[in-house]
Amino acid sequence: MEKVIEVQELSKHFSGIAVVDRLSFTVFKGDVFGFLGQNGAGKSTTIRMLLTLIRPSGGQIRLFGKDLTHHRNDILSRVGAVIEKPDLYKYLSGLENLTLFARLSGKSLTHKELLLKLGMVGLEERGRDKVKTYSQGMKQRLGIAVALVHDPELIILDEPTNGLDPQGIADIRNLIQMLSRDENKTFMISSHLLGEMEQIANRMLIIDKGKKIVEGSVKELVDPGKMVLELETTDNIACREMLMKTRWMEQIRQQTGGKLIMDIARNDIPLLAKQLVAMEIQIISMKPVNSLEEYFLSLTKEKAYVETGTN
Amino acid sequence: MWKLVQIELFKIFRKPRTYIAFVAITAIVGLIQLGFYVDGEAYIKFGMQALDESFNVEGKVLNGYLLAYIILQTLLIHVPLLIALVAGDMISGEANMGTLRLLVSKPVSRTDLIISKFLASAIYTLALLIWMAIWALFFSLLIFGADDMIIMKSEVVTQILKSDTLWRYVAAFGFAALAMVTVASLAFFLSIFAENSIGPIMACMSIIIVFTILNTLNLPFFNNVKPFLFTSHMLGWKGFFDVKVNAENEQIVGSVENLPAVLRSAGVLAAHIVIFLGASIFIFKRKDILS
Repeated sequence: MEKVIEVQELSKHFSGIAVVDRLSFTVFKGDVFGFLGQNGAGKSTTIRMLLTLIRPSGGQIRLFGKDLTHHRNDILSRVGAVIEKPDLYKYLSGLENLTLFARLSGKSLTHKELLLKLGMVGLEERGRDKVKTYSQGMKQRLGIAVALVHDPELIILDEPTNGLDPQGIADIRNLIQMLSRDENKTFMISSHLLGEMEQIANRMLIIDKGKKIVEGSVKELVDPGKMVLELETTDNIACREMLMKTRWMEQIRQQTGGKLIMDIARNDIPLLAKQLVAMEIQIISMKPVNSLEEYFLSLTKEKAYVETGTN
Repeated sequence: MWKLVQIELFKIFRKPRTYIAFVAITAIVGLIQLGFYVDGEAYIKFGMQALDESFNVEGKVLNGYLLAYIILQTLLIHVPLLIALVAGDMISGEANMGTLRLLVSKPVSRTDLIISKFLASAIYTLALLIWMAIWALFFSLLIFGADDMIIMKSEVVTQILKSDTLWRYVAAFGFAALAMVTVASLAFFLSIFAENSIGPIMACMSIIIVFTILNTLNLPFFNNVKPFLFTSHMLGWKGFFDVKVNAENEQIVGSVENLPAVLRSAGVLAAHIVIFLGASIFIFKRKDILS
């Protein structure tokens, strides 16, 4: 399979502190690659190095099989990106922003083509309005249109659904899936939301404190049959005692703020509920926890950094 | 490169703040012209008192050429602020808006980006000076007419023939443009270090004020430094209005009294532009874009 991004032993130090620490990963053509990590994990620094905004302290970056340092302009003409916030020229209209960035990327588009690009993100009717009149969600969508305007092969999106309402999130998700499926575009999408990535990515990389925790296909990494459950009852002590006598004893992770957090197979949830009711323990809430933090916990509990898939 | 310059010019001239300078110059020049139109004769009579005792001055002393000289002398001290307003915003403004990271991630080399931005701010500076020339010279000539120009400098009175004046203004505005581009290059250089435009604008003006004060201090320590300060050369345009005279003390048409000094000043200013631009490219190429 053709490698679009190859990162080897990439590091970045700020004042002696390693923000990215010997990070290696590969993105293949057609991948929707989820790049996950909590805030401050080093995602944005890595993306900035891929886009030549930051000089690496060490390591190598190859895009489309070419060394980024030596073929910068050639490579960047094939890349579109939204880096953190989609900041654009507020005193210009959406169309003017799009024209300007298309020209900077070496493309001269007709008015009709520009409107088509705006239409992809649902902004064709607001194209003539100044960006300062846009809502946060509209700016986000325009940022994505700017990233797509020169028809790049690789699209790097840093937290693309920030500031979007649920409909906007679904629209962007559909757009990514459509471009990946129909035009075989390669996406690298950073996020701190595991659930969001599960829905669109086929492969993912999770980093923490600048280091790789896990890389592989989403199917391998996220087992849909298992989940982390947050359980709140009227009598948590009795509930815990009851669970300690069952086969779920090993799966209790922690008890915080009067709530129990445990690993459980999805199929076992009705059985657990039935047993709690039988013991006259009343359930206040049973909530699946699928935050990245919880996923990290599940990975690091085994005291090992996991690598699957490609490496 | 021209495509990049066009993009930068498009951004400059779509920004409302760009027009502050044009409006300010129009207003100030207009006010000065109005003041002289209403009360100019009395003002000139007062200024010519000493001269009238020894000479019989005929013709229109208060003419467009003289007024343009007065305006140029007054305004060129304040124009640097208007220049810094735009040039100091070129990089720092992009960093502040968050567009710098998008710009730098495009397939354009950082050197080309810096040069195009500098050229755009230089073109803006030239546009401002052309605007000033139109208002200060063209409209003054239209309102007050043309005649020989009399300039009084402490103990020297220079009379420049009407036919010998226009080219001097062209040269003076050219020199002033060089001086203002030097200011633009300083503000531009400072804008690389900041993430909002107030810092570079203030720093640029502070440097000009400090250097100007150093110029006025007649101390041996500072005298050694003065020839190297760009502010010492910014008023070099006045040299085009110092005329050579022959043995009969008659004005030599088309002459400049100390052309080498004017050219030396122009050279110092050009060297400053090269140094500021070179330093801007050197630093920006190595800078991590964190904004």
